Amino acid sequence: MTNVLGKLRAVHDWLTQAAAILAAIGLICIVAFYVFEVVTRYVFNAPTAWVSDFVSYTLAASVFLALPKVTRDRGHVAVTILVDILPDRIAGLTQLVVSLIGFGCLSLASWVSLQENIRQYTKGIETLAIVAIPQWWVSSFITLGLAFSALYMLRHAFPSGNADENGLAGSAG
Amino acid sequence: MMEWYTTLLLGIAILFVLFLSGAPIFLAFLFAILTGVYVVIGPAGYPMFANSVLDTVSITSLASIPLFLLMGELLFRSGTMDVLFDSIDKLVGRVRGRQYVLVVILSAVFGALSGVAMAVAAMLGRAIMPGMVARGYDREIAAGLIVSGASLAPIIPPSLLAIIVGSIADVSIAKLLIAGVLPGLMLGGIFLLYVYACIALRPSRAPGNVTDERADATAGEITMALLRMLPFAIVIFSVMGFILLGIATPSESAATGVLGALITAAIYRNLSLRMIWDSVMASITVSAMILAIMAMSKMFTQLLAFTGATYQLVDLVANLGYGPLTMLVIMLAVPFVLCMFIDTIAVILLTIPIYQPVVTALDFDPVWFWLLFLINITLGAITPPFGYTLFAFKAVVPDMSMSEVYRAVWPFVMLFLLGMAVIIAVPGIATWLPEQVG
Repeated sequence: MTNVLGKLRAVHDWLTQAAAILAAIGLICIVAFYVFEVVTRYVFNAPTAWVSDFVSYTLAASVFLALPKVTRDRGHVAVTILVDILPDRIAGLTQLVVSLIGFGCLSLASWVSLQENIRQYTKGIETLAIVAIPQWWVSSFITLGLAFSALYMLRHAFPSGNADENGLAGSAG
Repeated sequence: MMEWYTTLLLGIAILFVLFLSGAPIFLAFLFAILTGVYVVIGPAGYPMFANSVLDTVSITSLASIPLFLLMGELLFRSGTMDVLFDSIDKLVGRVRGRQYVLVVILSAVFGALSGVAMAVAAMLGRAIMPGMVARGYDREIAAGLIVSGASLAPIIPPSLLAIIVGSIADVSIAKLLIAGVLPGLMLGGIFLLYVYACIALRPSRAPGNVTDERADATAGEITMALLRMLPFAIVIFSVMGFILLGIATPSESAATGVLGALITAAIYRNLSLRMIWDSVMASITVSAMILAIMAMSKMFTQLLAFTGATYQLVDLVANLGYGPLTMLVIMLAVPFVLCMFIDTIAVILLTIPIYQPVVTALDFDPVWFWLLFLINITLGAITPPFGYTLFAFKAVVPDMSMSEVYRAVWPFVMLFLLGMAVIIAVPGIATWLPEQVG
């Protein structure tokens, strides 16, 4: 059982890292899209119709592809002033409660988002844009980001003992 | 159905409790939203949440957040900031208290290039503070000047906070960015005047023998320093120049700024694929964190509007009967106090949705008001006891106690307030430059 959980954790971490790499590539694409737009518009007087839409799609996807990594590394901004001065036992308990609340909220949010993805898919809803694409192509990244983050919250609540999950990997804001 | 004020107070109370329990800010908002939607609308309202998140993270102007972060990361990681540091050091002549002048100029320039006050405070605290103390500069003035100088970062463009405020408050981001130029320079000037007044009153606050500090730079050294700074003009021009000339929108200029930062790093021969990749990775993760909070807070705003709390609050405020000045002071005092205790971005996201309709109802110039708001929350981040920038500074100056840091920063908090009073009295300082852009 422990072995299976360990493997699942490894797959989760691997997918999170892969998602973060895709998010980074997305950011590079946004730079390229915008520079291309400025050049074509001001040098060749030929503005594009697609850059704005593609930037918005890429941004949405990149944010939620990178979110699980931020959650894994405990990189979210949090006000830790009070928690820092609490005795270790109470601080640990507070962190457990916060992680469980986080798991519950993120799970519910990803479930809601998944239902919306399915609705968009079955009804063939497209984005309101010049270059319209099926909306679920973009919104499914939100589901993925929220679901993976929910799993990290659960892993923070019940750490396996490795450094990453005990909060030694990253620093909170 | 609950009364609107009960809903509003309950929402804010839930957020506060979660903030103080150390919950990530985006989670605190998420909890408040999911609970709020369930109580106010019922489960049928949940799809609204999913669509609101998608709408927010698809706003193209928000792409400037990861892009400006990337520009700053590239400049810092490529070591090109060191070149700037050395060059400005050469250019500041042998004036009395030259290190104080150096701090103000460096914080303004680094602030412009990074846009993040905590980063500038930490960098200057590490790079300059020990040398200043060793040379006989007053510890408290030096500390106060570094922390407050770093706090010009969110005011002088390009500024991440200005983009966030502009996006949420629905104000022209380009105008809000440009509006920060003159107030930022004015505040820098006020800081220097204060420092020189301190030196005049008590000369021991700066080393007496100016020649001990540094030999005169030769004409060749000054020319070389100027030449070495030239590549930075590429970055500044590709951001502010492009916006002012109408060549690029703020988001596009952020992308051209990234290109400018790459060219600058290449000119200094500090460009490497590893450095670029690390910068991209760092930028996208920080952006994900910021944009996740923004996505959640947007839905919180919509929920407040749905309950009628926003409308009722505006109605209440508009009928308070206070004059515009009193209202302005009240509206600035609230986030100022909040920023002493909770994170700047959280305060922005909590207060803007409530303030936005009030600003319209009171007929305030939006650029002027939101710039004052921006300065105000920046000030909150350096105000004891919990200003975040103070902790960033303290972390790199371990031999200075927190109470010393507090003592050091109070005079500069007063100077910030003085600067804000000037901008309130003379709104043109904030509005003139944006008006020229049109």
